This record gives sequence, C-alpha cells and structure tokens, in this order.
Amino acid sequence: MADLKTITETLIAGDDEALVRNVQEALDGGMKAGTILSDALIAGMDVVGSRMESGEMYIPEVLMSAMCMGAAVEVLKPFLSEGDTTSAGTVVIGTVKGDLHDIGKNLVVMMMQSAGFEVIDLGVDVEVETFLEAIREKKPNIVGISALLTTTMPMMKSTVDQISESGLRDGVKIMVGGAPVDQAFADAIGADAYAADAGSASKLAKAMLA
Amino acid sequence: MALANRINVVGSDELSRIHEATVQVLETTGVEFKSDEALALFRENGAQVDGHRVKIPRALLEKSLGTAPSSITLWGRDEKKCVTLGEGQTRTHVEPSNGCVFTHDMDRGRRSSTLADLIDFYKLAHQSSVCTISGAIPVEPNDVPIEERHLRIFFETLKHTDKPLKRNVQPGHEIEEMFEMYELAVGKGYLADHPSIYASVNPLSPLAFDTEPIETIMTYARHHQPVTVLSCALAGISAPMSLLGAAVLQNSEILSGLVLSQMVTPGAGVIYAPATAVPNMMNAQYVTGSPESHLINIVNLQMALELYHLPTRTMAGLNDAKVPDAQAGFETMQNLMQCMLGGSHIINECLGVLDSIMTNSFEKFIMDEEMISRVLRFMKGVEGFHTDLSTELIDAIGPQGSFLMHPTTMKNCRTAWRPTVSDWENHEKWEKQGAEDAMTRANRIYKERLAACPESTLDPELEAELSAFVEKRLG
Repeated sequence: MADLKTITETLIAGDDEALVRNVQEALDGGMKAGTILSDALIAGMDVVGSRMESGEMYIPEVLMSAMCMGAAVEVLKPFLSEGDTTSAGTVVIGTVKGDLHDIGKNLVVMMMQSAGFEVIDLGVDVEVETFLEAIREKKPNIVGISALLTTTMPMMKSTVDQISESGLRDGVKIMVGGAPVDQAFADAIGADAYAADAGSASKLAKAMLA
Repeated sequence: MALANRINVVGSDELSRIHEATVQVLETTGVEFKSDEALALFRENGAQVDGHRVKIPRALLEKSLGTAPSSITLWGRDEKKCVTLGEGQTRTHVEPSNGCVFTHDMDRGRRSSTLADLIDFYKLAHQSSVCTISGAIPVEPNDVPIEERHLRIFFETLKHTDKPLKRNVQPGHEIEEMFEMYELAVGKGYLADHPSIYASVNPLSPLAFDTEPIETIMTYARHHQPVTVLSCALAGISAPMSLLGAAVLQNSEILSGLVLSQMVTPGAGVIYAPATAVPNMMNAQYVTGSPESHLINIVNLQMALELYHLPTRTMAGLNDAKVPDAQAGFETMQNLMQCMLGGSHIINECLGVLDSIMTNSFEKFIMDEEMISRVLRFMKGVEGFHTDLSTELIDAIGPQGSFLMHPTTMKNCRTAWRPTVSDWENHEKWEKQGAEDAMTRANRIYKERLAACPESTLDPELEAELSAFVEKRLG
C-alpha cells in the first residue's frame, strides 16, 4: 500500500497516473480520505510552493503537480466528509475590462487552487458589473484583479472604486497583480495587497486570511 | 545540429588571392629569424638565407602545410579532461587569460598582482566548466623573484589543475626543466606520444622572430608538443593599415612559424592564432575593442579553416574597459561573438581580462563564463527535440490555449539555457534578495567558488616530490 510519503513524492514528481494509483491504493487499504488530502496532498503542494519560490522547481513542473493534485482530489471526493473539505477560502479573480491577457492570472488560479482555495475565475476582459455580481453571489474572501497593459491599469482603480461604492468593499480583501503593477500602485488605488508572481500570490492570500 | 554557417568576412575566391600574396611575401620579402640553429635548418631545407633574413620557397611552405595536423588531441593529467583541437572538435575550447600585471576586484580595486591572486585565478579556471584548458599566467606574480618565477608558477599550475595546459615563451632550458617536472607527475616518456602542453609564441611584427620564441617553437616540436603561433600586429603600426594587407602580413608570420616547427618535427601540432588589432590611431596605442580588428582575424580564420585545415585560436574576450562595467560587457560580447562564430577552435583572453590585457578581474571572470556559455549555447543551434515542428501539438492546444501545462513543456523545460550571474527575477524578488547588480553577484559567486575549491589536485606524495624538484633547481 502506498504510504503518505510516497503519495507526496509522486505529487511533487508530477506523475498523475502513479499518483491516482497510489491514492486509490491508500483508500483501498483503509486510509482516511481526509488524511490523504491534508497530510499527503496539501502538504505536498506546500513543498511545491516553497520549491518554486527557491527556484528548485520550474513553473511547468509546478503546474504539473497542481494538475496531479486536481486528479487526486477527484479520486478522493466521494470519500471526503463535510469536515475534510475545509477550503482555505474563496477567491474571485479576473483580468480587468479592456485587457485580454491571462497567462499570469491563470498561473495564480492554479497556484491558489492547489493551495486549497476555491477559485472562481471570471476570465479576461471582465466588466466591473461582473466582478460585483460575483462578489454578491459567491461571497469571496479575496478578489484578485489582474492587468498587463499600462492602458488598462486605470480600470483596476475604477473596479476597486466601484466595489467600494457598491458597499461590498468591507467584506473582501482585494489583491492586484500584473507586470506594470507594483506595491505603490496597489496602495494608491486602495487595494489590500500586491503580489509579484503566482507563488507569492497564493502565499500572501493564505497569510491575509490566517 | 550546429549553426548552418560560420561568419565569413570574404568569399572563398579571395582566400586564394591572400594565399598567393602570402607566398609572394615569404618568397620575396622573407622573414627574419634571430637564431643560428633555425637559420641552419632553413638552409638545409632549401630556403634562401641572407644574414637573418629567410626567404621561404613555395615548395617548403606547401610541404610544411601538408605535414601540420588538422587536429590535435591534447591530454590533461586527468585523461578524462583531454580535448580535441581542430577538425572533429565539438565545442569551442576556452583557456584562461594570460599576461595581466594587475588584479582587480570589487573589494580591493586595482593592484599589483601577487602569487596569491595567480593561485585564485588557477582555482577559478580549474572549477570552471566553461574553461577546458588551464595554465597560462592569468596574472603576473609580482611578489615572486623573477629568477624563480618559471618554476614556482609551473608548480602552482600543476598543483591547482589537472586540465590540459597552455604555457608561454621561455628559453629552451626552462622548457626542458618544465617537461621534466611534468613527467614526474605523468610518468617518464609520457609527452612523446601525449601532446599535453602548448605554448603561445609571438612573432615580432612585422616579419621577425626573436631568439626565445624560436627556441620555444623548436623545443616544443622536438618534444612533440604543439605551439600556437600568435601574430598580434597593429594595423597601421606593425602591419599595413589595410585590413586585408594586415591579414596577408599576419598569415605570412604565422605560416613561417609553422614551417620552422615542421622542419624540426614533421607532424608537430601548430595552432593558427590570428590576433591582429586595429589600434587607437589617435595616439598609436594598442586597443582591443575595435569592431574592425576581427575583420582581419576572421579572414585569417577562414584561411586556416578552409585552405590549410589547421586548429585555430583567437583572443576573444578582449576589451579596453578599466573596470567590469557596461563597456567591458559590450566589447567582450562583441569580440566573443565575432571570434566564436568565426569558427575559432580555442579562445583565450576571455576569462576576467580588462584594460587591453593589463588587468584581470575576479568578478569579470564570472561574468565572462556566462557570456561564453551564452555563445556556446547559441552555436549548438537547433538540435534534438527542438527540431520537432510540433504541428500536432499546435493543433491540440489551438488558439488561446496554453503550452505551459503540456507534458512536452514540462519534460524539456530544464533543458533551456539558464544564466549563472545575470538576474532573471522580477523586480520585487530581486529587491528582496538584496538588490545586487551583476558586479556584486559576481563578487559573491567568485568567493563561494574559491571557498569550495580543493587546496590541491595533487596527491601529497607527488606534491612533495614536485616541491622538492623546484627547491633543488632554485638552489
């Protein structure tokens, strides 16, 4: 029977077939789904996160581990009880109106999902109204707003402004990111946090909700 | 699959014109050799000798070109580090800088070099994966008495590397002493069938060879060790101002050195080393960063590669910057790309060198390694997995998809070239990691490398034996 350590190792190695097989074996051997999820998979993704930060793992490898995580969770799902699925939090994320870029935003989505967040991805070219609706409906802990173009940066400010004007600002933390964005800009538009890359975004999100 | 082309400066038809011009220079103008032994040899081989002036006939030149090998296997004390020079070679070989009298580093600035600095440069070269040949004299050990230098330097060379070696011009008896010392390490008689050390020999431009360079060529040839004849004329001073005129003069000098070597031992290795420069004509001083200099030297590389089939060598990382600044970077990269893409088999003066070969810098050594590694990667061209045209994959991913998560990306993402000193982080991470510029990172890296380097590559018994040899000879 595959032990927790083996499951963690196959997750980090990004071998989805072996991981699914190992998880199934562990379940068949009587291991609790919740234990596998928290002690092998989420623990493994923590290792992946820190290895990405230190440069030991490259982004495609990190993404492969994240995809494996998704496949393993599918196997576990039917066996997870209510208490096992404590989500790290809910995140609504999108690229602002007028901007079609999503490579960076998609990396953030993958990293946050594998860190245990439930992520609602609104996609690209997102109208302010769409952000507002999603906040009302999904009641996220965090709203992530992305822009790559200097010309769409003002739209980040107006998105934040309208969240405030709609009375939804107090219920959420707002994170911003994208190549032209920095901490000073985040401060100036009244966001709560800025992250320079996908790894630090998911780490920061966890820290903000801790 | 290497690159489809080298850089060529002239068309192939021009090469035969340059060769004919060279024959004319050698037959009618001739070259001076300040050695009775060499003159006697030339006379025996049919050259016309008048005083020190030797007129080399076409037949002798062609016979010599016929016996000089197109490739040389150069052995290291660690035989796994042996390299092929010339035809059949798979990557550009790199040797340390040579001849600097000052050392520069970020902490202490520029200063007269010492033996301790020399040892540190040997250690960096030994550990460097870019540097495949070691030896030379990266900085002059000014604190060692001149009469002791040749033995003390060679002792440190053997102590700190087991790679194939490059050495300089020396009187014949010093060379004999050095070979004797080398064979203490590798076994008596080893050198006769294992070329292991080559010396770089300079003509006295224009068209003359002094006594010691001649002794060096002849002694090395007798011991079946290669020489590299390096012509470093200055266009407009010791060579014609015309770029092709300078190429003809340089070709004449290098080939006359080759003839001498082949008369001593047919088949002894000769490495063709064009290193002529376009100087600063404002004050008639040697400079190394002119984009025009390698217009001359690449013509000569073409001669060696296409007509003569000889191993080649150029001074490829030169610059006139006084510190490892932006000028050092762009002049170095210009010269590296010109020489390496011109097809030079060995490059030298490209690990740390600054200030027209006056100064050697520890930080620049680290930066140069990366610059060389960039060009080496470029020269490998498109091979293996990269030749896949990927139409099925492009179709599978389609518009707006992402290749980042495809297994072919994950499988190959680590094969892409990575910098060793350049910073590729985003601004925030760079700031968080100390906001170091390239110079500061290189300073940190060279110190880490020195700290990790073993104190000796010799076993203690051999080291003691070599040390005793040196002390005995020095009396």
